Amino acid sequence: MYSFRPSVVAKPESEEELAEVLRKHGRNARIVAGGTGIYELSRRGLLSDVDVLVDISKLQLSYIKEEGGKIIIGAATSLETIQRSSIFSRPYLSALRDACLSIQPLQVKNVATLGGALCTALPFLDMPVALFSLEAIVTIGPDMREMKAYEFVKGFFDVDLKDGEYLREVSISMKEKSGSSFMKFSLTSDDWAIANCSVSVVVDEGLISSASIFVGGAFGEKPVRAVRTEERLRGILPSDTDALKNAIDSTLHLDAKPETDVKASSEYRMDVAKVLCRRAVFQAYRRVMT
Amino acid sequence: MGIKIILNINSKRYSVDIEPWETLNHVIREKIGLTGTKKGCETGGCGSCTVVVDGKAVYSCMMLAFQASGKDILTVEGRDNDVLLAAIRKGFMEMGGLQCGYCTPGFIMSAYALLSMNPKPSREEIKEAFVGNLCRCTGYVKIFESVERASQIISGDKRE
Amino acid sequence: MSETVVSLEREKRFIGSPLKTKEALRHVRGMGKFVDDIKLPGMLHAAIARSQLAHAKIKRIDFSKARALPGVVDILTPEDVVRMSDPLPQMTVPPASNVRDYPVAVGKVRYVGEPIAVVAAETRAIAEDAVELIEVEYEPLPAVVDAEKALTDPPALVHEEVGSNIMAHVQYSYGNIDKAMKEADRIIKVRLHFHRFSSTPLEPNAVLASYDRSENMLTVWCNNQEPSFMLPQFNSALRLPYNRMRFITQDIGGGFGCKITNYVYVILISLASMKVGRPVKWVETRTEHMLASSHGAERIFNVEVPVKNDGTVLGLKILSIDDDGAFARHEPAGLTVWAQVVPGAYRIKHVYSDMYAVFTNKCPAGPNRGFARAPHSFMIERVMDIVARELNLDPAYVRMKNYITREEMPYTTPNGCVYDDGDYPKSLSIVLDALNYTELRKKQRELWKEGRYIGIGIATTLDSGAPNFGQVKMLNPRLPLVGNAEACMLQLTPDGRFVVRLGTVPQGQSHETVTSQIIAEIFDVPVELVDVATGFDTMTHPYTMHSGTYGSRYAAMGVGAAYGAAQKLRAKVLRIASHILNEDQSFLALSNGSVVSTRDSSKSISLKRLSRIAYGMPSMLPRDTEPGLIVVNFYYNGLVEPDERKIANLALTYSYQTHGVVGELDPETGKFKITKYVIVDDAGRIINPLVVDGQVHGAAAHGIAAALFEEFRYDENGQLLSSTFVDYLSPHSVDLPDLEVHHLEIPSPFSPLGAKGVGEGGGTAHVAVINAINDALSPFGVMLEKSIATPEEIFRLVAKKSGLPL
Ligand SMILES: Cc1cc2nc3c(=O)[nH]c(=O)nc-3n(C[C@H](O)[C@H](O)[C@H](O)COP(=O)(O)OP(=O)(O)OC[C@H]3O[C@@H](n4cnc5c(N)ncnc54)[C@H](O)[C@@H]3O)c2cc1C
Repeated sequence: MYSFRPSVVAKPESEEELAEVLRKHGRNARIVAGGTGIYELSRRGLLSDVDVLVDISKLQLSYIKEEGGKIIIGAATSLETIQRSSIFSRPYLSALRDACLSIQPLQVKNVATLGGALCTALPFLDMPVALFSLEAIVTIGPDMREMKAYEFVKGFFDVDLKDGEYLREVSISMKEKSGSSFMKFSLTSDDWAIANCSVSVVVDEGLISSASIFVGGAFGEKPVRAVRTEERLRGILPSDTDALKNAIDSTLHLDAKPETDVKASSEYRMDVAKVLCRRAVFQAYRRVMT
Repeated sequence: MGIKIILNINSKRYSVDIEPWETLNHVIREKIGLTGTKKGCETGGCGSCTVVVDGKAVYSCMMLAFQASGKDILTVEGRDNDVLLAAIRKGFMEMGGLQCGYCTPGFIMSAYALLSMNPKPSREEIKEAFVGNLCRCTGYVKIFESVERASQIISGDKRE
Repeated sequence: MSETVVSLEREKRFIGSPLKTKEALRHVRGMGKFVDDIKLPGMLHAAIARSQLAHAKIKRIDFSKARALPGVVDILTPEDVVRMSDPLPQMTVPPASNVRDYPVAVGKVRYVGEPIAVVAAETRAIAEDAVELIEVEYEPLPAVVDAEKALTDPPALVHEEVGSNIMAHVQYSYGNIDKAMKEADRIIKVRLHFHRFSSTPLEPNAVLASYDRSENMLTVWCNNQEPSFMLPQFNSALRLPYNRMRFITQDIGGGFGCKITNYVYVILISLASMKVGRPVKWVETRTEHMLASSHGAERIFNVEVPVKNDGTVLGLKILSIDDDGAFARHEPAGLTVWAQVVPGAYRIKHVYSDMYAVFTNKCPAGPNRGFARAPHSFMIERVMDIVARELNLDPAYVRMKNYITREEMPYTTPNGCVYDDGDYPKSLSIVLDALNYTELRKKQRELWKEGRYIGIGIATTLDSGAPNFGQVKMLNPRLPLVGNAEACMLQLTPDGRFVVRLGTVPQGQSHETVTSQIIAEIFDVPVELVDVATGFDTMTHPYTMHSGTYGSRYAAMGVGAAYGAAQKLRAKVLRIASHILNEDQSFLALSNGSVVSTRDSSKSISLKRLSRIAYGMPSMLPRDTEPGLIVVNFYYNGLVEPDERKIANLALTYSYQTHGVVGELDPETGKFKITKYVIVDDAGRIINPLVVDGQVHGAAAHGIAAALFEEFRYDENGQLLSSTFVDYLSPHSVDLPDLEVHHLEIPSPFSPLGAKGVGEGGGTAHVAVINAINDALSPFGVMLEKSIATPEEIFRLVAKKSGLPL
């Protein structure tokens, strides 16, 4: 039976208690942050073994801090809070705000959390792609284990959490001379990405000195890193549109292998991703330069 | 089994027995009997279930009821003497911001959240505030005009 | 009649005013009453087990686990349905009408989502859980998903008893197409595919059925758009006489035609209630709605168009195939309803149409906003553009050349339809001016040099209203239907107020408001004194077999019935007043809630006092006058059945609309963004501009959505790929352009107040947008065949020819 019929709600008052509940119930416990992803998961019949819902609203996990050269975002921070925070208008962080803005329903953003967005682990979500390109690090409680957000998300509905563990916060290192941009292509405003792309570049003397590029939206089980495009972009002047186009068109498909589904064919996804990538690189670059 | 929670809806306190998996929408409609809040999809996005929780618009069909426990919930039925709600209702009536009425409660709730934060929104801001609400009858035009009218009413502007 | 219109003009207080709608009063407070808002004591909740496959034999169904689930009260099985009910009457002719159509699959499933059984349980959650426990063993059969193949090379038969997949085949021959083909300078060939979509009302289908065994009485709350039209269906399937069945509709959350064929669910849930002996409620989920309620039919056109080099379109030779899905429910009426607008807005004299409707393993098709006229108009308006392109003429010029002009009105079409009145060229001129058309065309060419592609689309369609049911006889001469009639009951209550009961079944068209405006106008009372009963009830409302809301009929039919009722009641009021006041009727007038003498102001009686007398003091009434002030009025639109050549007037009013669209194509992604949108609409006399504008906007939004976003797509196995709002993309607030609306108000000489029906909107926006996209694609020398333009499809077409713009 696919039904989602848990019988208990736990409301831990501290992170110790949270870890305790999670350890005790293992697979049968499930954290509820905003709850918007829970809905999706239950509809797909993925929560039929869940008996204990763990409400984390009492833990103080909603915050945005600037500390030790890092921006630290609590796992339970809502997307709306992130979107509103002026921190994310800085050039090197803009991709995260772009991603927030690309998610449309306010009713979702008012409650949906950054932690939930990562832990839902669907390949066509927007926030993860942006976080990956910003080389975000996740901190996992209770042992404060750290790892790259990109590695934390393992695949379809799959994140690197062991029984008793939870996502505590996400941090992004401040960067000089860096700009970022996230772009999404969808059919309507409310639609999931047919393709999305997030780019972070570091600029040296007007040229790109390094780039971090991720593509998502049905490119396998999780968003992919466009390593070869990143390499090709080194030393490029983005306002040389032909050079930029060549660099991307000749490489992006080497790393990103899109799928065909009801919304788009694999070929079209690839073509769109290349356009998005080009536009995102250009915008990220512009953001550093102005 | 079931658990007991307190819901503050429209300034009234309700003590209800719920199941952990029951949505706020289900509890409001079926257990409390406030049927103004609707339901139109099961994927999030149609917005007919929108209510205001602690000042923010949320989908009541995507929020589990226990999550709303202790929070301040406003539904389309509203509370007495709510000037903003009265202005929004008036705006929708005067400008013809509804046809079949099914999406209306959700739009009114989204409008409420918008206008309480931003009493004089631009047309663009109104459009953005409604992206999470679907209307199949009006093509939205008169809904935007209704919110603009409500905004005029609360700021005391006279109609031209 | 025209005299009255003039006199109304003089004293007009309510008619024509943007009166706040009465319906709004309750909806803004969340006090609307929709089916799901009703609860009855002892009520059970239903969930429906449905087919997972498009086409398969049912080998075995095991209900045991589901029955064992605590809280499950009963299950209505296919055996129950066959035992308790008779198959649904079919509109089509033999052999297709041999189909035994039940509301559940019997022996075989024919589309994904087809109901198999109904679980009735104490809660909805239990019913849903039980559905998961029903085990169905299938033997899969090849699925029929391609309409052309279904006809020519069928992989299987959807219904063996029919012997083919043909649901219906009809031919129409108006004028002399052979002659037109001979006289033509050129014959242009056009192939088009009108896709599957629907207007997906926000409130899903819902039924609450309560069968009382001791009284043998069935009461049903539902959101069907025309329950009285469905009475024969209910009667045959439920084996109950009309007076043992009561159908009630209250607020309906949008219909657009999609809630006509939900009669099947009304029957199914009624049977469940009859079986368990308790009230049973069923509310469709969105997924169920997408899978198995009602889709607009697909239509594939192959058209030959004889033209003159000057742009004159002489005729249309059409071969079309409708994909109507697995059952003929309301379809294949689409093979007749298009004939209301045979030549569109043009002086096309020769039309030959060879039409098939076929069965496929898809959701049964049913009416959707602009039923059957929208696909036909789509074809005509595409033809106009394609003719222009082929002849190297401007599409606006070609339209101007071919339009029927105002001087020719009322205009009789080759099949006998009588277009009431209108000025098509003027409507286009207004659009062209608003677009600054000539300049825009220049700019368009200049932008090509910069690699930018804007597209301009125009279209004129007719929204025929108050249809003639006799048209179904062109398909099946034995159907007992003709004309169109509507009923209204009007009462002046003993306290001087009014109560109106209508046969129409509104779903957001503000019939309560508009009707009260008319009554208030005629009696010169404040609208607040007029109460129009919400919804419809077969037990308390008058009705005809045509009653309901569909086919843009209210403005003529509902208004006609109410207007006539008011006239009847007014006559009686004046007769009584004349007697009481001892004053000649010709000197009496209704003014401010009283009847007054126009020559002796001392002679006056309030409606309140007069009605007290009528109900309470019959001795004071004139001798030949019955007590009471209740009238029932039936309005008939006067239309008669088609002759053997299929010629007749098929609608009473023919409102029309011309739209102009400008947008820009992003050749890198294929996305088309609309930048300007202009509408000219002629709905005849406008009774309430708020209501009419709302309909005009709504129809435009549906058309734009169909052109850009919405499609029910099936894979080759007949699985529906767009079964939620996540995959079936309806536009949200920021996805639609701003709409600039202009009105021409040319009254209909045929409808009671000169109003023309507007609800459906004719599908103008749909084809105008597709025309704009094709216009943007013209420098690439490519064209869309389909009526939906996804960015991917546009991108593919551009890619085919990329680097080759003119
Ligand atoms: C209508 C709609 C539209 C949407 N549109 C978009 C879109 O356009 N783009 C996009 O990217 N996303 C979109 N989303 C998805 C949205 O971003 C996610 O649903 C949301 O971010 C999940 O956050 P949440 O707090 O609600 O998670 P929850 O529902 O609370 O949880 C989701 C999952 O994460 C787990 N989880 C949550 N927090 C933690 C934690 N701290 N530690 C461990 N596990 C945790 C939960 O156990 C659960 O498995 C949309 C969602 C909806 C409903």
